[in-house]
Amino acid sequence: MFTLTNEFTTVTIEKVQTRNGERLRISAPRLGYSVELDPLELEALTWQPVETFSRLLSTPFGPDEEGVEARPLSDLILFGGEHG
Amino acid sequence: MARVKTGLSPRLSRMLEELQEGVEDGLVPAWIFNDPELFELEKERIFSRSWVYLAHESEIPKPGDYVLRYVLDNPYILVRGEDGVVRALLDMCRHRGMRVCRAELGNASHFRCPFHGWTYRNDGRLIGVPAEREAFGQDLNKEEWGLVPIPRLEAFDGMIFGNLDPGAPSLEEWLGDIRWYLELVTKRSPQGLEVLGPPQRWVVNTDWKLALETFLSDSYHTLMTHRSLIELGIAPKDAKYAMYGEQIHIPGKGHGSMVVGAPPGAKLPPFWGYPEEMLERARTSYPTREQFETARETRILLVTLFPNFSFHNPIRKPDHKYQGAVPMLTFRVWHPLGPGRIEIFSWALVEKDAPEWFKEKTRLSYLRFFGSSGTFEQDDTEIWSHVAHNAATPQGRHLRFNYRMGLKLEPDPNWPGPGVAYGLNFTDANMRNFHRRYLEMLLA
Amino acid sequence: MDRTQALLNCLYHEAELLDEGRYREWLALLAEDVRYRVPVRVTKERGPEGGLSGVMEGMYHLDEDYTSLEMRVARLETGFAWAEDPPSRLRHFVTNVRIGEPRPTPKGEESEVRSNLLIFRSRWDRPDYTFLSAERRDIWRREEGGWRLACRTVILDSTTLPTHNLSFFF
Repeated sequence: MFTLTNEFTTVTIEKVQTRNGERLRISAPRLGYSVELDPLELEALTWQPVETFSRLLSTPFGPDEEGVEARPLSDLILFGGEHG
Repeated sequence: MARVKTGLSPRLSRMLEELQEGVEDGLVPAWIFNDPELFELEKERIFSRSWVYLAHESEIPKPGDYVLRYVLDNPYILVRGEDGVVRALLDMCRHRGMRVCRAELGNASHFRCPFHGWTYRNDGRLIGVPAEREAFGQDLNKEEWGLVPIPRLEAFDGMIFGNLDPGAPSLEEWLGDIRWYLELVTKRSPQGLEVLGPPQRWVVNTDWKLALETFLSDSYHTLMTHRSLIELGIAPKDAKYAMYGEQIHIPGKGHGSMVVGAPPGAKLPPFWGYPEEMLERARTSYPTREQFETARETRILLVTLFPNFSFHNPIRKPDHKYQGAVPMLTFRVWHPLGPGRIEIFSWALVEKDAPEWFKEKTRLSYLRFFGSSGTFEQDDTEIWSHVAHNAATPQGRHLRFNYRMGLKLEPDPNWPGPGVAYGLNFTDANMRNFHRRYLEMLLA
Repeated sequence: MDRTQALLNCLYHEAELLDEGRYREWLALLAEDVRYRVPVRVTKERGPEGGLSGVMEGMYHLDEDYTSLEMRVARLETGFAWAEDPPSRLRHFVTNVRIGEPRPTPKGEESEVRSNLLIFRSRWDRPDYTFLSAERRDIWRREEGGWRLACRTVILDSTTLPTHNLSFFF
């Protein structure tokens, strides 16, 4: 395992053995995400332009949750909400 | 020369008139070296319109490499994009103004602001906004909210300069004929130069013009200021050693150079004492034969660019017992912090293709004699700070300094390089030329 | 006297020599093969394994050997070293001393000694002063006649130095 750091984040990278093969595990301990990529996926990374990574970073702290209902707090206060 | 324009306070107008009247006669009032009102004018009319040195391209060779640099107190991220293009981006998040870059140097493909998380690619484009849909809906056009690039950014032979004035002349035009002298260093090898590390940075209570003057024209100070090095046998025995050279200025530009040879009778190796193989490479690397011939006779070379960049390239050796010569090269920015206060950025550089043993030795020649602990430079900064202090005192500020050295010298008709050259380096000619350009910018 | 006390005495004695400008005596405390370095420090993230941030290996404020330190001392003796003439009033405050286990080497027994250092500097008749804070990472060697400083790395706590020159020793 080795670690890569800049002023923005730290990631750890390690080779993991599966029963019949191997993958590269990239973990971001600060945000708690982890991904295991096989050689073909890694190869695909090699021809990605910087735009791909900019698109991935359009949500700078990991994926935004889809379909989150932004209910006003006043709903809870005026109408008694869950405890009404 | 035009009379002092309006738009200035009566006090400043009166002061600049005094400077204007004295400049050609070599009389310069002390107050120009420490005055709060003048400093504000210098910020507006000089540093906001001049080409200011930012970095050498060897500091950011790879995509994503960046260093943090300043023009006045504007912080710029000088970064090489994934496309290989160098940009200078104002280090200020467009959302609420936080610094998006929190290291002095590093490598990053994207910069993520620690305040609300707006994220920019290293070409400046805004590409990420947390919870964008909930926070801004469809209304945020990210293309309009990228990091702001410096208005102008240009390079000469690996030297990167920025300018805050969008209407400034090109760097090439700004440099003019001083390029011939810059090339004595930048084109000494076909490979060009590389920095030996990040800059040393330190503060001195003095004026940027006092520091600059030492490198632009003051060959006269070495015999007293640097006497300790003469005593130790580091500097040539002849205390007037810096006198034996040409002083050259570029009229209308404010730039200047000092090209010093060997003192009469002194046995100093040619070509600054660089190794033989570097001399051979220089023979074909220099654009002109005149530059090669000049370089071969040079032992000390200084170039200063208006307003606040200098380099110094003297023959030297790592210590007083070392046999032989090991020249050194330092680049300088005399960064103005306030009236009577500067920060010095000091780099050591060497030819990329210099032999490894030489790179190590030239680094030591630099560290022992120049920079924050340099045995030459220690005494300069000490003295500059007292001059600046006196320049702000009620009695001292009105004294006029004597810039009359070499006032009657005739130009040297045989000098092979461009500009106006004098065959004796004990002259204030470069500083008088600088003050002319300085006034011209302050009044325009 | 035990080793710890002997090394503490060395550090305090050295500080006294530096405060009083007894530089020839200070040189006598150095091993002939001494390596004396003050790296440039920059603002930078801390590494993932922790420790100090931004200590540059490529550039120094001082990178000295015995000969060059002797040259700096000789310069101060010329009477023309204006940076220290008049001399700075210096005070070296040495604290948090950590002494490592003794280690035999072909050159003699060596011991790692770390200390925190605060230098007070005042010049001329000004009431203002500068402070420089640092950690010193030393190796002291037991030689004939006593302990000698064999290696010192000074980890500055400043990036941009708050003083106009480094005309003194850490």
